[in-house]
Amino acid sequence: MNALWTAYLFHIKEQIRTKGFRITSIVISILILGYFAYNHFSSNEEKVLVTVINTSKYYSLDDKLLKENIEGLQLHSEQIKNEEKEQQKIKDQDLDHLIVIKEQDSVPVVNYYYHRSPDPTVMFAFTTQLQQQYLSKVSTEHALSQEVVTELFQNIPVEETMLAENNGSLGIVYVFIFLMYTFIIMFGQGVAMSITGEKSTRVMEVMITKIKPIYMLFAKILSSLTAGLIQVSVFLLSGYLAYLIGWINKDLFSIFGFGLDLSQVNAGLIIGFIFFFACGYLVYALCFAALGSVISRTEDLGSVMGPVMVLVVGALMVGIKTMMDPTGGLVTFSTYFPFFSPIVAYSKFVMGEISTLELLISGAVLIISIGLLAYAASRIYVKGVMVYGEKFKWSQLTAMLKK
Amino acid sequence: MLKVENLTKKYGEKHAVEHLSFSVSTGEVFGLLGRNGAGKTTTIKMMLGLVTPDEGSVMWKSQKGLKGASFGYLPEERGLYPKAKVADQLSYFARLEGMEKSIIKRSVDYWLDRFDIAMYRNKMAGDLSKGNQQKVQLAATLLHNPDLIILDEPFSGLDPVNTNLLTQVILEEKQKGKVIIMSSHQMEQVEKFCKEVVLMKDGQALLAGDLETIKNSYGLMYLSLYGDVDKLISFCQEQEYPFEQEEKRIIVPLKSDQEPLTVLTQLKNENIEVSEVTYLQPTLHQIFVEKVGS
Repeated sequence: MNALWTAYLFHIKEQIRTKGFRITSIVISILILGYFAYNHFSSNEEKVLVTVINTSKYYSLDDKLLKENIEGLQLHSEQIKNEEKEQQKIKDQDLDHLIVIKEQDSVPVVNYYYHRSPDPTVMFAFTTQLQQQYLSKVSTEHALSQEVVTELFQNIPVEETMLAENNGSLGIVYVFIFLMYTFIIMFGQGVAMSITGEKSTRVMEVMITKIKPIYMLFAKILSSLTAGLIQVSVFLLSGYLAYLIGWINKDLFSIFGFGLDLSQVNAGLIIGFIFFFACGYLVYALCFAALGSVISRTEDLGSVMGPVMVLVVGALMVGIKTMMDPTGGLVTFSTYFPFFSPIVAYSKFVMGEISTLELLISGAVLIISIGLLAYAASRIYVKGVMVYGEKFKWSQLTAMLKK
Repeated sequence: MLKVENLTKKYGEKHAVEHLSFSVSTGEVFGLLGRNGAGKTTTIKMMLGLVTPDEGSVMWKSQKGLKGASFGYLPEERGLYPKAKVADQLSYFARLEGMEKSIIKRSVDYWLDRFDIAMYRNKMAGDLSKGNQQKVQLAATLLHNPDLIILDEPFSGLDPVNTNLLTQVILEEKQKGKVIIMSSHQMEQVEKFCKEVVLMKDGQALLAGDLETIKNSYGLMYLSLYGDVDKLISFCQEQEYPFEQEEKRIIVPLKSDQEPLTVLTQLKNENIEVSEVTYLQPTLHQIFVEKVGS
């Protein structure tokens, strides 16, 4: 175990010392700070450019009320003859929205032009005003009493109650999936590259006489995990720095549109996060380590790692599907499939869509799978590191497992 | 003492090593000789337990295998971590050998000085020249003061100055009573150190045993004549003796033990003065080329 610890410390030091590690840490931290700074400083200045062409006789807009309802609204009125010109402005992205108000049998008709996606806030603000004016006009024409009009305008009260247990917001799921994916891509693959590098530089021949291969295997996997966690901590610290500076409004905090309610983070969520994150990393790192050991040149890594990369992308896709449909058939199967279950089971746990029994079974399957993978990977690794020069065939893996 | 008995390894139908046996005592250097692909490296890997033999055994101090033995191994293909500092990786290797922290620094400093590479201690190994990387690798092999030293082609990549330096180091280790096994193509170096050798071809031992005995039992001898080269050449041509010229010497291979006397008598009869006559044994190089050359 002393040799494992020595190898672990050496590899972790070597990884942290590399220029790539330091540059990535600095650049991504700057990007995180930049992202929050941009959101902070640009949120008050974002303009919504709207041109209105109103050809109706009865309907007019209250500019003041519109500006109250649409943040950053800059309203511009145009004549009907310039409609095409205004549409071109939208295509050229010089204008955000064009609202054309016409009348048909005294009923207001609105044509709404936008570049690629409609803005419900803009649409709602305009149609609400027109709707009220139309109701007012109709009630006057039919000589309705003020009481009737008031009742007609009465809003229907809606009281929302979520019945599913929810352990946290989707933002936490999103952070988990994103971290898991990037971690496997960056550090899981790093394990394979490091092992193949040791073979191609022939340092493996020296090492194999000094330390048990199984210790080398786990020293590499665990040092990559630690280096990765250090890097993630640096990113979190830069996020915390942004929070301290005041660039993050914790009430409106979101990651790419997914709300992240930090007040919902509790011990269960943190323990689950650590457990499924570590298990997910181990599953893939063991596969990468085994495959990295059977080839002799780093150039061959791409072709060998292809099938595992398909699983990584599959896990990401199923993770996204879980956020939308946590009870679907594929998601249910994936809850117990060890290559997908870390992301799926944790996501379902956060969303309150998994029972305690299901969670325990998923965790148990995952732990047993890691044990089997560790056994297989160590067998392949011990044999694989001494194989040089031969072109890799998948059948070799079976032979190495059997020997 | 190291004892290798009946070591055999087959890859498919081809024997990489076939029934190889030898033993090496403390304070001796053993030469493992042969052309590329003769089976030397496979033999070493079987000794280290990196390749499982089909038959045979390796005994070290009466124990089977090298498990628990203190050994240093210099592989044929040199390997260092290219992006790690020289001193850091030497310390790492030393820690893996179970050395105490306090001794590691002293040992690393000693070997960096001994191989004249102390100035590179904080350089990345990948930034060093091939020869200096070779010296770092040698330091890694020796820094934990192993009892058994296995050197696979230790002189390849070294310039003459560094070859002399390594020669001194090996002689020092020999004097300390280490068991040293060396595979090499440089026969002059092997002759300097090795008491016993095995000459391998296609996995088999063609010649094995004490180097002097091998040389003495080897039929071909040489007569070295030093004198007027032109006259000596004319003499050899007239008498139809095969010869080779080495500067002012003429080397004549002999067919029998009686031939030197015949040659010297003929020279006297022809009044050709010779200032120095030497009776030469075949060199290891000559034996090597003769035995495995074709």
